[in-house]
Amino acid sequence: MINFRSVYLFIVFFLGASNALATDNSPKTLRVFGAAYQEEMQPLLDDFSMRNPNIEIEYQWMSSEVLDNYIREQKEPQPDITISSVMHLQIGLVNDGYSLEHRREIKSGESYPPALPEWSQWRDELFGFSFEPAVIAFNSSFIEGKQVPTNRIELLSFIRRHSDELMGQIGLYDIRTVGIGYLFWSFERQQARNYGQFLELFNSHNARTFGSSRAMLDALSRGEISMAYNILGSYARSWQKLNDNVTITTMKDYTPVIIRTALINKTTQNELEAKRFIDYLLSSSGQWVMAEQTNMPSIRSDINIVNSASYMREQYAEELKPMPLDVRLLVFTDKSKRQIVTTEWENALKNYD
Amino acid sequence: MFGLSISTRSLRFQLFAYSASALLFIGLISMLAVKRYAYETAQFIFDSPLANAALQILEEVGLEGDELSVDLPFSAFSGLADSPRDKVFYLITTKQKEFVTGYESLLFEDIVTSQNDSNPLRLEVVPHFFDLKFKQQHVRFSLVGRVINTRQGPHHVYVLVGQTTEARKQWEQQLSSAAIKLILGVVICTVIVIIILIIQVLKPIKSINKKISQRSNIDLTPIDVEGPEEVMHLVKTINSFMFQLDETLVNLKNFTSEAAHQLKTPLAGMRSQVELILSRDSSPQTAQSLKRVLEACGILERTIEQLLNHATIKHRFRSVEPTINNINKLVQSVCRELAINALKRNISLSFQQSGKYQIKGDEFALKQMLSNLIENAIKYSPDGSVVEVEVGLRGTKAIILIRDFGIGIKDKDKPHVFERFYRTSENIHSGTGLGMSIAAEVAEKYHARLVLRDTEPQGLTVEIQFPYRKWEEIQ
Repeated sequence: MINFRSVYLFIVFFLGASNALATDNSPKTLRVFGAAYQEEMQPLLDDFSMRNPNIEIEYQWMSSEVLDNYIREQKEPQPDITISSVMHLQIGLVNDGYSLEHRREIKSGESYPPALPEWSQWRDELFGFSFEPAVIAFNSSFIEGKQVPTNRIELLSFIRRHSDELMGQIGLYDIRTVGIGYLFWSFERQQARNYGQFLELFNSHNARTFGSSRAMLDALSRGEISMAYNILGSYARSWQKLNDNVTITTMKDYTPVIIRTALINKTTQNELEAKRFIDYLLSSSGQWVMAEQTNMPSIRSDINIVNSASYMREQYAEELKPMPLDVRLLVFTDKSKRQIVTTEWENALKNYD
Repeated sequence: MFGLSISTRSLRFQLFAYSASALLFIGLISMLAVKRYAYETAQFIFDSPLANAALQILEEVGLEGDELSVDLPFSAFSGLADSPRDKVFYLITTKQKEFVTGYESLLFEDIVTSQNDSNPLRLEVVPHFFDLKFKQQHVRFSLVGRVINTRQGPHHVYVLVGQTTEARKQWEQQLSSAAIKLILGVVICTVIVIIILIIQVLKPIKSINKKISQRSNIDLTPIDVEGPEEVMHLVKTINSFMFQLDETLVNLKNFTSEAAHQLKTPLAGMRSQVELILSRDSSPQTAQSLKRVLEACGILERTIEQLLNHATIKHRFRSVEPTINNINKLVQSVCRELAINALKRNISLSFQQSGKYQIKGDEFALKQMLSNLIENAIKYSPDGSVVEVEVGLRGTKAIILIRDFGIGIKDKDKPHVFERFYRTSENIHSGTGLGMSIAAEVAEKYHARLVLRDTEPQGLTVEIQFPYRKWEEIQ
């Protein structure tokens, strides 16, 4: 009897212990949904997996608008982490309470001012991790022998000068489906005085619109278009590495800059792992991997190589126009405004559809 | 003296307590006022960008075709971005509760519609503010409205812009905590000033207290203190009181000695008359009665004498400066005075000394104590026995021992021996019942203890113990 009991107890104990071990060691799956191409994120995801062998990342690409709707409609499965460069949509999600707060503890020995600038986060819920300018890309064979325009006034006269060559050869984001395209477009609409002239020229040159950065870059390098206006710099540079027939330039009068952000979804079941991912994304090691192995410039102020925010902010202080990561961007989420901007854009560009 | 020092202390305490509680009250009131002020300032400061945002949006509301639409200016929420953590909610609607843009769920909040209804539109746009719990957060809203004329007639358009209140609360807290620190500082400084003032004000009273306590207790001359007017009144009163006390004491002294004289004289007359009758021939019964009368006279004389002594001792305590008395000499002289008395009954009075010491006190009183005790011992000793008197030191105590071999006192009577006019039930000796109580009173005055013990094999031993520091050894 006694023997039987002790054996029983032993079994119970063993089961309990193995259970505890299992919960500690069993790999957790962290769902990361991003409007960033997986190839761009891959070095980061790999490095994170290597450091955290127990956390398996399931990355899924979605276009920013789809992702926004997916979260707002609470479709299953909901991601644990949402990454997007479309700042106004991310701000909108945080403002409407879809995100979880994560107060990052400041480690002792961290320098002051902190390496992560105050403007790179909002409410400890939305964390910016890269600092990306919009660029203008030309097909190299087209631009060869031509004076590359360096500001918008030059660009306007460049388009007028090469009007015939550029007819049907200007590529733009379709702002109805590409979130970043809408953000750049409506931001420029508020900021640039010659916005009307551009709209006019794009209209008269039958500018083509594309549903994604990749489609536009593909068309550019195949020579279907000669110029891509306001395309996200990181994608353009990645493309340039693979296809050397793309020439990239920035506008010296002003270059809009977006901050790529991540948030923890409120619905997450893996809060700890999600926080660890965010911490990694913002950590010095994560940011170094990003700066060196991807084309997304690091946001940390203690990283000062070419592919970093602090380098760009020093070098191009006068031309950069970073979009503020705060409630000001909320105006771009407004439906009425979107209606007006889109109608205006369609009237100019889609009268031949 | 002691009473005075307590009242001084309590006066200081009272002054302090009153002023501290008044300060506390004022402090509390001002803290409340500061809180209120901080709240109102925060409202004022943070409400204006809120109204500004709403007004900017209102400016942009127009008609797109037949529909109301608004192209939100990029600067609309610029003022609100100064609150780094606060969320923003807005709604554009009409009097008919049509949704134009913004957060549609705001339309279902009762307060929004009631605010719309209760604020009639004027020519000048006046912003209104209200608070609302929206999405589990406390949100402060501003509301503006104006009329837009369209082909279908005038449209009443309302713009609501709301912001959560984190920055507002933080600012409010900072302001009030700074002010509260200031108030605390002022209160602490004031408390210090009050303490200094209290000490300053009470200084003359303290100096009177000191002067009085330094005086010997028989000094009734006027106090000489310089002080402020209020204190001088007090000094004057004390002085006049002391003058009266002095006069009363002198009168009392005269009265006691006069009364004793007045009683003694007729008593002496009576005694001599009785003795005269007794010396003549008379019947044995008459002689017997007269002897009793004489005995009674004796007791009466003794009682008067003891009362007089008692009164004198009491008076001397108050009016005569104590002197240093050599106890050995004092006891010796008392014994010598009483030796004859003892010899009459063939009782020998022995005196021994094993140490020499002196005591500060009134010689008359000490003598009375000793002679009362020794007399008692003699009285209760059987004829032909011994009464031993011993002066010595024992440990930290100085002692006087008076030992007789008489009948002794029963244990149940011992505690009552020192009561006035107490006499044990089986006492056959004539006595006044005053001697022991006088002795006890003198002993108490000089902090001495009277201890009663039984003598072996029979009798009573009275031990007078002077405690440590109340005596001084003579080398």
